[in-house]
Amino acid sequence: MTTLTDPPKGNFRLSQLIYDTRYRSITIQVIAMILVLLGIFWLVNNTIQNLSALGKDFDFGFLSQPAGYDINQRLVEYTSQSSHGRAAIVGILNTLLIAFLGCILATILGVVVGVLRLSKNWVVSRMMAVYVEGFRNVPLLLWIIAIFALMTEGMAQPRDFKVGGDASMILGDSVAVTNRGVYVPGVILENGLFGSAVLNWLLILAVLIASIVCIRILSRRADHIQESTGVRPTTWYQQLALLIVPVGLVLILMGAQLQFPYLKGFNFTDGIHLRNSLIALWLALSLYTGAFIAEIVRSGILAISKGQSEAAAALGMRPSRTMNLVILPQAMRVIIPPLISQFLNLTKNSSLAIAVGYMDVRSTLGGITINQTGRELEGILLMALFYLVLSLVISGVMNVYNNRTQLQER
Amino acid sequence: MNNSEISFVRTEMLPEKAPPAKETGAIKWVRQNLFSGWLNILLTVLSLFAIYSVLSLILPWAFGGVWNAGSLTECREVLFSFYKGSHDGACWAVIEDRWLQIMFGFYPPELYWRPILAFVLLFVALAPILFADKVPGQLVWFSLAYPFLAAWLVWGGSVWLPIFAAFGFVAAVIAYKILSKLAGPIVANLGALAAALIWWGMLMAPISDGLHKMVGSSRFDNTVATLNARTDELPAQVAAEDALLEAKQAEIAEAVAVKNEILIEMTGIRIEEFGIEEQFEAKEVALQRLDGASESVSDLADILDEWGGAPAAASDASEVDIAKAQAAAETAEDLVGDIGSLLSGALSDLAGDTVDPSELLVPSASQADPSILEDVSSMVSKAGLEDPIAALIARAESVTTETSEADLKDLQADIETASAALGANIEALQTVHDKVIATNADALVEPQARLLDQTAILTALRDDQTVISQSKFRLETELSEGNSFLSSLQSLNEREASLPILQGRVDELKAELPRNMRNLIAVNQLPEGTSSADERLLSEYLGAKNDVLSVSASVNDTYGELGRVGLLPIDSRKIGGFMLALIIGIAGIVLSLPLGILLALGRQSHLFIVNKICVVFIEVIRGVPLIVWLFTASLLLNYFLPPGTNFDLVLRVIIMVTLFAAAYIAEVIRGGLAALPTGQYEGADSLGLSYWQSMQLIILPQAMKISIPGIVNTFIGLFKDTTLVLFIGLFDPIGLAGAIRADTAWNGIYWELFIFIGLLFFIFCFSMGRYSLHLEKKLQREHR
Repeated sequence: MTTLTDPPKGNFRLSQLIYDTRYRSITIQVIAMILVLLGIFWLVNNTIQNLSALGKDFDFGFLSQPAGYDINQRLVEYTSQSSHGRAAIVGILNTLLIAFLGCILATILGVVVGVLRLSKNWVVSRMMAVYVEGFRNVPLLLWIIAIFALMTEGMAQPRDFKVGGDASMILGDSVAVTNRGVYVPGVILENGLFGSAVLNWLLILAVLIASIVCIRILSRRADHIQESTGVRPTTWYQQLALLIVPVGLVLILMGAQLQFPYLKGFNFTDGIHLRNSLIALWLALSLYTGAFIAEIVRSGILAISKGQSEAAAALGMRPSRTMNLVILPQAMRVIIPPLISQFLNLTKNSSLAIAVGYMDVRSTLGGITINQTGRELEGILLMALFYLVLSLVISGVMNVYNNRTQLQER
Repeated sequence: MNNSEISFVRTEMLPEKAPPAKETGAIKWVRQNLFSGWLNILLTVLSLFAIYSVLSLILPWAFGGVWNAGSLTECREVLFSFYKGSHDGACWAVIEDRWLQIMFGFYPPELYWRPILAFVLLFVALAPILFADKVPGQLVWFSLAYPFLAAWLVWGGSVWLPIFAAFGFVAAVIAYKILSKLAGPIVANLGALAAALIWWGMLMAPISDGLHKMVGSSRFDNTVATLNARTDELPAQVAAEDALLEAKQAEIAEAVAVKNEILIEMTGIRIEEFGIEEQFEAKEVALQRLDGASESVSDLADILDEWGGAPAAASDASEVDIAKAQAAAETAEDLVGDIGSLLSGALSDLAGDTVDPSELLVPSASQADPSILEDVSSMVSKAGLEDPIAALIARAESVTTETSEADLKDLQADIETASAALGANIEALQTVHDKVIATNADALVEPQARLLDQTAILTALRDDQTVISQSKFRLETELSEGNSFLSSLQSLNEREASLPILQGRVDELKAELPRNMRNLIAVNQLPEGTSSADERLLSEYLGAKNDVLSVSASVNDTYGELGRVGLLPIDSRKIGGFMLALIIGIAGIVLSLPLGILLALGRQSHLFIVNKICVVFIEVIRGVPLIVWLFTASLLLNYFLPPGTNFDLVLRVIIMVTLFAAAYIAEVIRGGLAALPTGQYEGADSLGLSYWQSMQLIILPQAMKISIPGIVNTFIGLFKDTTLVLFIGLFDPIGLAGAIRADTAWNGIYWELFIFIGLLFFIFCFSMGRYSLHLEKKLQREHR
């Protein structure tokens, strides 16, 4: 038998810090720490010196000063008398809006294209391949600018929509695509329960969420019944009713009315005006990210081994049920993490809004505010912080989801 | 077994029958792949329709484009002479004119060979990495030297600058070798870092300046003499180029005149066409009015029918009914008015803007096609169209709300007759028009060909003009730069002599200054309540210090130019276009690879602090968009560096892009490291390899192999993202597209430029992606 010998317990010598593996890691870390701290100190010191030489200080007071510039698209109340902080919030909301819209459209596009790319139909799969390669290999900025140019140069002027003009509204005279933007019908609440429109819409949203929760409970119960009796109760009409009726009731109660855009003078009024900048950015971001998502979806489906679908077929499952119950749940596990990272990319890429003048956080806080107040350091710091927090939140959500769906391995 | 019951047993197999025709070859493929079910059929038809509608839009535009033109207006002239506005064509002439600019930005054309050589050498430098088994191993040294060589080729400057820059690494290696024997690896690493920093930060610039000074002093007299001679002869050369340029411009003006003559000639041929076209517009408007009048009559009849005569309320009607009746009566009155005004409008359209068929000028066309004359003569005369309408107007005047329904029906029928006559007239005119165009088409072929030839000649002339004006510009720059260089050479001795005096003044002032103020760098750093004398003293001191700095910098500049042994330096602002994208992309990826590997190892490391530092760095960089980092580079980097440092924007962008790409590469390589089985790490440990040995020999080669697709994807992403430098004032291809559009000649051009730039990026990125797939397959060792 061999016996374990303890390392010699002699007196600690200084050279052990370098030669003894027990202490060396501490030495390395301390040195790394010192180097990093020295670097940070050097940068901060330089900054302090430069700032004082320019007669500037490090102060966030500018956020409460009046901004003095207009923002053409705003989700919350804002005028040019509002503060820079308010302008930043308007910008943040615009960033979140474009990110939200973009993620939805990109996911739809990506899933459809990813599935179609696997289609046995040669023409369809080739066409999807052309779309994917075309969008993946050309800079996003070029797409944004090109779509913006298409909107402003290629579309009809509002006055062409006059009777006898060259252009006409589409979808039953409800949508007008003009070179100043797209006009779609809007919903107005004639007698809202609250004074502010935002609160009214929040109420509707809350009702919608409550309905969805009820639908979830209903389908859980159906699952239970199916598991215990083997017969699944038909619930789709209940679910549909749950989805539509409460929201519909609230809308009717508030006197909701569709407002169609119509031509007045040389421009359209009423309805919702989606500016070219929003449309171009939205479409370009969605088409670009959709191409990446399509590849993710495709590889996710391909990653499920053929044996799974063969086994499902052996059990007598129809192809659609095989897809829904066997392939997709497994593919989702592969698809979700890169999908979320594409959402992150889309959110970060929305900062390209500057190319078309969409007023996102980079254009308000990181653009006009910086130019007007000369607070580059504070402005860029706040903007970076916003994007960082957004990224961390999204990746945090992704990790939670990932941990929940991860295959429990031994 | 009863064999006798079996009547027949086949002993050999029957030959296989050929499958039915629809189960073989192309038909089978089409049936299986395109039309296998109703959904598939629908998809196929829909996608074929989509492809057709896109191609039918793009192909005629792209292939009917114009390649030779000096401006968008000229493009449109040529397009009009071919298609007469019936369809649009691309103006590829802008690409022909500006493609070099999109590739190289504002880089001097005579020096294009430098970036091209650097690009070609890139492949030599990549050879040891891409084809390790086919090229000699020594080529790796060239790969190591390549970054310095390429930077020197692109930016120019003295030949020792890249060598000195590279020597920093050599110094680090030497310091490491010496120290690792004396004091172990940790000290050696720190020493190497210190040696490189000391060399780059403190020794490199003075030694380089010294070399310039040495070479410069020995050349001084010689240079002055050559410069004097050169500046004497240059004005004559510029004048000669000027004369050439003027001659060329005259030639161009002549060619333009010839082109315009051809255009006029073509207009002359088409004059008959144009004459007929003028008729169309008025007649069509008149037709619309007639149709409007007929509609009004029928509306009126409807109202009268509904109310049984003129709308009026019964005596006992309610208020609502009275209002209704009133409204109907008003509408009826309006309609009565409309009928009259529409009819007279139609008449005045015809009377004012149309001519009698006999007055249509078709002499030359009718010569070519006599049937035209018959067509014209069979057309209704002008009076034949107008008179019925005039009669209708007279009848319409008598129309009131009391008119009987039968009369209205009658009137409507007559209006429709008149409108039908007009419609037939327009159709006849259309036939004539088509025939005239057909006769003209033959006559136009020859001038069209001549026009194309002429535009080609014009383009060639303009290219010559560009060459001449470029060489003139070169000579002029040489002259002005030579003159200013001469004057700076003449003042060189004086400036050099003034340096010690200025320095003496600085020292003097510094001695006078209170001790606590000596480190200040700006007056507004002074604490409140400083005496004005002190303040003045400080500002004088700072001014004197600034003088010393600027004079010594100008002396160094002059010596730098005087003693330059190497290539002409090129300013970063002149670098642009696709070249800029390549420089930033390639520099970013090459520099970020080592950094990314270190970060990935750090993130996998068990050393707590190192690990956390790397995690924070990677997450912060990845969490913020590149555009924000670029703004940081352009707006904030000056804050973070020591006061007074100011360096090249392209270099700043490269640094920022490198840090950005390093974080992404680190994540890719971390994935590769995590994908390796633990056995590999344990195996390396059990062999007794140290950490770095095991990484270098066992782990990284495998991890890198797994990471290749990810690294290439990062590179493609980075390459596409280089277009973002547009926002901080550098001219990437998209920025150049804007610059080209700012030129009045090409104002209004969009798609041609977008397509060209998009194609450039597509070809580059797509082939990179395909290459990475190929590499992945080649390096695949296991069977899956």
